[in-house]
Amino acid sequence: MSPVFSNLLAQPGVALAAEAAVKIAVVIVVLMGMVAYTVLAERRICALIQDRLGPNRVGAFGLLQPIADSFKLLLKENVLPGHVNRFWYVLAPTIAMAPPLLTLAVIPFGNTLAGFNLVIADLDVGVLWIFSIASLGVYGIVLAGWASNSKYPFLGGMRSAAQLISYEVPMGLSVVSVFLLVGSLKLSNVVAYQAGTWLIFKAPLAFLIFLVSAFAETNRLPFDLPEAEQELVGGYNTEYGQMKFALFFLAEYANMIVASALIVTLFFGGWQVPFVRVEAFGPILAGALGVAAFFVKLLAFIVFFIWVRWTLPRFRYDQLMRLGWRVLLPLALLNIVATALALALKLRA
Amino acid sequence: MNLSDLLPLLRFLAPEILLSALALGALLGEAALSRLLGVEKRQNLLGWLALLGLGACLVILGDQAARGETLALGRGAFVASPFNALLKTAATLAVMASVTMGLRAPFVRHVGENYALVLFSLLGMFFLLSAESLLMIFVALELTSLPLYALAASQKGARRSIEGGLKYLLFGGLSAAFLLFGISYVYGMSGQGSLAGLRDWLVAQRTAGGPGFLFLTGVCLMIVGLGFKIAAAPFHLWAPDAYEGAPLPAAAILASASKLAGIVVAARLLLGAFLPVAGNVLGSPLSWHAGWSPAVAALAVASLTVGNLAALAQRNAKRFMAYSSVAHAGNVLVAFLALDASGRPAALAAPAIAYYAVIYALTNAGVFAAIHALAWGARGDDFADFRGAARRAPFPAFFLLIFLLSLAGVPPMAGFFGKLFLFMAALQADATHWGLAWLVAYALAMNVVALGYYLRFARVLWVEPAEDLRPISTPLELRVALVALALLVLGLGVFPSSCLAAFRTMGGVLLLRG
Amino acid sequence: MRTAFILITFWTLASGLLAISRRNMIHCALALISFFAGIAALLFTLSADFLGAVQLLIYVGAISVLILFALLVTHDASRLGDRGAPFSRGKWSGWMLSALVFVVLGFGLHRVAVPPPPDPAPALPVAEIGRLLVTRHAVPFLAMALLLTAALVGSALVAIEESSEHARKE
Repeated sequence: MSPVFSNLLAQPGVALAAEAAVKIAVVIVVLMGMVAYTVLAERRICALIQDRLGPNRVGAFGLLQPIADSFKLLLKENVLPGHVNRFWYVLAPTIAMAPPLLTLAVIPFGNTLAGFNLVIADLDVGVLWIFSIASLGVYGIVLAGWASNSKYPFLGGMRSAAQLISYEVPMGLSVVSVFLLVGSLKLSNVVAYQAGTWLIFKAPLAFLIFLVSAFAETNRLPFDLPEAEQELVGGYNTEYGQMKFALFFLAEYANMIVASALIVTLFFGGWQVPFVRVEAFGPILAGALGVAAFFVKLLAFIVFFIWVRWTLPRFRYDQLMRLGWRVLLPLALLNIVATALALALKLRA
Repeated sequence: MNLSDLLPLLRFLAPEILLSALALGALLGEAALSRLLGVEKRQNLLGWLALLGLGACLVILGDQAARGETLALGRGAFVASPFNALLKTAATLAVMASVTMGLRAPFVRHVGENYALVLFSLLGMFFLLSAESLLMIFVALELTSLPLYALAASQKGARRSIEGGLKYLLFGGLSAAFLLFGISYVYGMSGQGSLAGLRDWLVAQRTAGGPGFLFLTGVCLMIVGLGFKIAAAPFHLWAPDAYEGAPLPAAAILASASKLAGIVVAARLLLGAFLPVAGNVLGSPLSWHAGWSPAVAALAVASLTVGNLAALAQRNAKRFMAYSSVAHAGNVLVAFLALDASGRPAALAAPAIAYYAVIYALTNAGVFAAIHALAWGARGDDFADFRGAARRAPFPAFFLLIFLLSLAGVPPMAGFFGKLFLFMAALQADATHWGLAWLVAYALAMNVVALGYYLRFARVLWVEPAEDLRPISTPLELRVALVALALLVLGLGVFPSSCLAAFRTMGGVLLLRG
Repeated sequence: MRTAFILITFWTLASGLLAISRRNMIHCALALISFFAGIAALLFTLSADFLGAVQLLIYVGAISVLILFALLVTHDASRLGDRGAPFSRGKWSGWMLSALVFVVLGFGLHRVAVPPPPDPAPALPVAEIGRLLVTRHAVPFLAMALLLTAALVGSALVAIEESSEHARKE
């Protein structure tokens, strides 16, 4: 029986099901909260970079702004344009939202806390699962572009399909070298492997490729061509309003958070606390410290994502394709060969 | 397994390795040279290099055949034996003829890719001829066919090339689906991936109540897939359009080497792995036994009928050859049924099939090479375009006549002995009761029809008056290829029994090791 | 688990039927995607995690995206609905033939004594799959790599546009 189903559906033990349900609930609530405040952080940091103030009226430092925004979006009139393909038009935002949530299921956000594993489903094929799910992300956007039955969204959808396909390949290949080193696809093993040295020091090229591809996969600047405002009005979500638009918006930020979490897990030791032997503090505190370490690293990467967005200009479409296929792909292949050779030599020695 | 353990194995895999290197080299060569040399120069340079590489392959294969060593890897995934080396030699020769034809083909623009596809297809045939496991058979069949789909459609300007290629692709895809579905049932019921394992399992099942209905269904599905591959009626529908549409060098591979590999793999599966569930078709239908034999007998009769009768009505040389190949599939299937009442195959059956497949491949390569030489100065490849061609180009026309006579089965050509052995095997199988006499008699009758249409083609060439009397020049390399193929066909015909004996000692029955 | 299996089976079959019967090509492609996803789900319920993930990655995530992409770039999006009848004139013989095959296969499956599933289901670790691929199945594995290369070159050769500057003087 597959771990996903055994954990989520089929186990007769009610306790297990309840544990899974609680974990899912907590993870979703935390993710949504993070999404909301990442949006706020983006606006404040962007303002900082551009020497403005940003939203600071609602609550102290504008902390209630996300709540006000969400109420605004929820209470807006539900408009369905007449020219759209209704079924897929409505479905598309939901499909866009699904991949980040599914991906989150296998990311360990801590070691153990009070006897519970801090991961929803620790799959044997964890990373394969992540890539399978990540590869579905394109559907929400393509469907939105197509179902909108309108010029700019369609162009945005097509661009996004091309971009996501192109960068999925180097992203997947870059991680291969990580697994050559770790010898397992299970994410908890990847984290455990990094107890001594983080993988970024062992596989820096893989990290670089992964990072660049992650920017492309999340449609963030400098790779935000699917929604390039100046060229495409708003890209694939032009025809969307109210909560349906909000879902795309949330999906984008959720994707960014999940990508950051992945980078942290794969290359920055996950929940490992550097330089400190946390076991000495007892199980509860050690677990909590692990979770804290994970979130600190995660937040650092989120800020990095935002920083990059407001610093770099957008690529041109042909530059984007050239970078993906002519630079990143050969580099990723080279990286695999080099890692494999190094490992083989080490085995022989 | 250490690297040092692997090195001795490489000797057995050398032809495959060389061929992969050649194919990839053709791709790289095209990429490197496309800005330096014109199309024609590249076509010549890469073509000759390919021929050189294939010649080296022949040397290695000859060495393998002479050494007489065998090796089985990965539960029958790859079996190198002298017999397999011989079959690969025949396939290589046929493909070399095709490459020679392609040296001056005017429609080719992506030269390296074209050669690479030819070489990949040959590589697939090599794997196929060495495959004794279900997985490898499927993979190798696909590796053989996929490049051929592309090659069949590679004459961009011609509508019929695209049409033929598409039909070939669709039918081929369907046949692959049938084959794979059949394989999944066969493997699922038996748990055996290797052909030898399958046969042992089937023998064991005899006492345990039989392999079950689903297994036999799987075998039948596989027969459908194989039937597509060797263009046996009623699964031949793709052949006329694919042959007609494909450029001549590609059609030559379709009709020769690819067919050889298909026949051999069908024999390995049916007469090797599935022999215990053969059943038989001896005597009247009431006395037949259930198994794959009745199904194959139906294919054989249908192919003989459809192939020979439809060939009579053709006006296009390539379509004509397509139906002729359907008829020949019928001929060869006759020997598949050469089993006695207890299910033992006649001693002659497997060597006769191999001999026939080799002869047929070489002869067909020759036919297409000769047609190619004649079509050089003709408007097209309809019979009308070849009227009186013997006066315009006596050299290729003469060789075409030899090859056609061999196909028709006129002694002393090799084709005659090929058919003779097939039918002798069928008669030997149940010699006391003449159980297969009905099938052999039918096949003989149909081969008389065949004689008629082959001679009709020869008459078009030699007797009918030519409208255009300008001579057609035949390039030297094509002349050499024609002579070489003709010598092989005649040579194998002069010493038929020694060839057969060689096949018999080398292969025994077509398999099985590992 | 059994309920899940049956539900997913129906889902998969329905998607497959939709994929061959819709007039709009995009709808067909989307139904096909849903079909592939159904297969992946079936594999998960059958404890073949690795295969399920691979199915999801290759078929749903890669091949289907390409199909959809190809449909969207090669067609005028506004006219995608006008494909004409999805079935040809020979549809009845086709249906009959498939019904016949279905009956034969159904009969065969009906007669098979299905062995009880082993409990717990044998798990094949990913590492073991990898090891088999480079040892026992090394030759088919390599042949597969060549096959994919050949397929890539072949489809590129068929699809490539022959520009007039490269065209050859005849």
